[in-house]
Amino acid sequence: MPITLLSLDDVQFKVDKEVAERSILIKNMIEDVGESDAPIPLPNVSSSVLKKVIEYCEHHRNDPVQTQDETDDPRKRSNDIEEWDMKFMMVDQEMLFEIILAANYLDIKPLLDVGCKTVANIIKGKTPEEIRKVFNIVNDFTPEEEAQIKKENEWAEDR
Amino acid sequence: MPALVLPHQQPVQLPASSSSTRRRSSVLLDKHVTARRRSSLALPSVPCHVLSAGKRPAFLEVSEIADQIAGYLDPRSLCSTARVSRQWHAISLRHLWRETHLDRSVPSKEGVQLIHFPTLSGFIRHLTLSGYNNPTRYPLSLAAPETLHLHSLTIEGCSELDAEALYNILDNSVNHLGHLQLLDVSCLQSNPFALSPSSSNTFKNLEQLRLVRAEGGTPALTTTLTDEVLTQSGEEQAVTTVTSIAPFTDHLIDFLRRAPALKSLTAQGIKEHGDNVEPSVISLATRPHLSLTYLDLHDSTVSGATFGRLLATCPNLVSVNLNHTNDTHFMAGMVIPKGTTALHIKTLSLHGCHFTDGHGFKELFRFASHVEKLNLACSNVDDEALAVLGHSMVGILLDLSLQGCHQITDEGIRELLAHRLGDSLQHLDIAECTELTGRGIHSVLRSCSRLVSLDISQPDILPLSMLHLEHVDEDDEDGSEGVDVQQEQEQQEVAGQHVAPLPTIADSDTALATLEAVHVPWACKDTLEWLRITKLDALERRHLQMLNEHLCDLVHLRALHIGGSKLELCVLNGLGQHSVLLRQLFIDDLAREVTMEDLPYLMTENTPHLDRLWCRHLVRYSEPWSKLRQERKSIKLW
Repeated sequence: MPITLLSLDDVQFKVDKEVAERSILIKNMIEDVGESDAPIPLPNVSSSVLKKVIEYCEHHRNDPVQTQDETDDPRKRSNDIEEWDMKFMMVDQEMLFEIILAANYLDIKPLLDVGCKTVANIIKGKTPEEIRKVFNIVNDFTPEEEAQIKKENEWAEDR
Repeated sequence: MPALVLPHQQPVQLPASSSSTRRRSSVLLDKHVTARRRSSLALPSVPCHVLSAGKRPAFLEVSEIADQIAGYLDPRSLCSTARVSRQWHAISLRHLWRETHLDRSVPSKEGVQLIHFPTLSGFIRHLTLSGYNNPTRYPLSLAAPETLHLHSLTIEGCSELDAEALYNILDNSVNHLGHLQLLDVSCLQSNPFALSPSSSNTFKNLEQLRLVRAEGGTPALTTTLTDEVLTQSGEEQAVTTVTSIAPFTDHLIDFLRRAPALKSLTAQGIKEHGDNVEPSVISLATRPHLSLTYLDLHDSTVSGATFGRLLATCPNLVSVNLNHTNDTHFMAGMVIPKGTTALHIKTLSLHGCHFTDGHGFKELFRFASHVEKLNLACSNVDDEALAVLGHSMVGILLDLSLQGCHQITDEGIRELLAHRLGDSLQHLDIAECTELTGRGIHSVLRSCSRLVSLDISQPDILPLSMLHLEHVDEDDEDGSEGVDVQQEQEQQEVAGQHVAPLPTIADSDTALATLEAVHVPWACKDTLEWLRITKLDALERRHLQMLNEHLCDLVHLRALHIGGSKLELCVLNGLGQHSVLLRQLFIDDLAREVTMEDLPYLMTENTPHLDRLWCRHLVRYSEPWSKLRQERKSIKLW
């Protein structure tokens, strides 16, 4: 039976239950409330983002359910993104961030992982100032503090 | 410049990831339920304490997302992100310092970095010191005790390590330390276990202790045994003999007492010099260690008496490793105290063990009768001991390696299997047992009915007996194995009616016709998945066809490693049609290059499901190679 999802801007999306349940949030809701025809409102997700998320879930509908965290591997790698996912993530940064937020909200771990890896790849090789610019972060350090921090970590940087 | 005090420099203990996830999803659910209520579904009201719908948090303000991203960054990038903002500083430092490796390349105390070490050391969870020798000041000795939260500590080759610094680290990590590794212990100048007597803290989370290559004899380590230990041990005689050369003994006993949760103890390569060879780690044998499940004494010298007592004091051992020791005193006079049980020992590794008398093996096999995985490779186990083994581990033992045991003969294998050990055994390795002939292998093939993997690579294998020729069976009937022989005859009857499709081998000679061979399938034909049968150097042409029949019997075969100077690839004929699961094929030790005539046996038609093919004598870029490459694009050619 298809499930109807309702986006922030009141657009309805009909998807297969199997696809919708890639989202643990929706899966739990269906378990808790039982199936019904009423649309499931997702008040945090706009239609343009929801469309992308559904596209992802459609493509990964048959993936095996991810097993519990691989006991937080200390040095996770960000360069093992599948080709399809890589293409999927080739969107403007605003959309990328929206997808990550939606994945976090909807609890779709594989999508969140891919999103975070993509962001990590964007960060790599950038200076602090460039990073602030990309992510719109305000520098709340005093210049002295920043210099101090730079010194503190030089050692680690050379590792 | 005054030290910077940033609010986030107090290391925060993150909640376990699972619980944080749970919390997050419950919050999200609350929000959802609130939303559902709006959409006219009657549900109990839940306070909406999250951001109101529609107002989304700025992307990186969700600290879990930022934290996950930081987890994918390399140290250099983390150094950049640390300077972005206060929030990112906190996140980056946690990831940057979580695992810290100090080695000789780290600058000395003059380096400005070490001045900051005290404030940053609190972020370190896993610390490795390798060859870090700064004799005057040690960065961690500067650390304020309460800031250390080490979960694991590895020290390797730090010969100049200052005792005070080491005690400081250990003493301040009492609460969280789970893993302690001291590699190259022999070069440590200070005894790491000689903690100040005043400290009565216990290492309540310490689960793993590894001591490697801790050869005695370093003067600084050699201390005399204290009276306290002597009286506590209650076995003065045994302990006193250790005294003269024991470097760690007194402190180690004390240290172990303070680690009640210790599960895994490794004492590798520990040998003492002098008349007595017992390493001090064996002082473990003096008090009960109920939590200990894993014991590794690889390459350490242990006497049989001590080992017996060790088993008695550690009743919950699951895995015991006594690999490799060349010491002549090893395990001499093995006696396991009466009443000792080892119901939990599942894995026992005696690789390369040379007991001075066969008695040691027998005693061990009788005692550890619940072992599922037993490694006797390269040991001096003999036929008599195998008989005990076959008797005491029936129905339990799943995995046995006898690789390179030069003392066992066909008789030993027969004794081993005489009590139906073959009904349970799943993995067997009898490669390189030089005294074994085809008869021994024949017993294995006939009675081990559950084998999943088998390695029978022998020099000078006798193909006749191995391939179940008639005269061998007759020989066996002279033996006293009533049940087995009966079974064998039944099998033969079945085999007589069984019409095996004989593969047509080009220019098959007439020798076959003269030989009245009855094809008796191997007992393990329905279970075997992995087979290694190399060194087929005495094979005759007619044997190839028989071997081929046997290989075609193996319906579950997944990997085959075959080789020998007399091998012809026609032995693979039709293999893929019968063994449809065959994925990996290794061909070794051919006497010549693979030619175009061999090619049909390697093509898709013959082995359709192969995804990995390794053939030593298939020359790269030769004609057969390119042809094969062309046809089988998907398989990995090695």
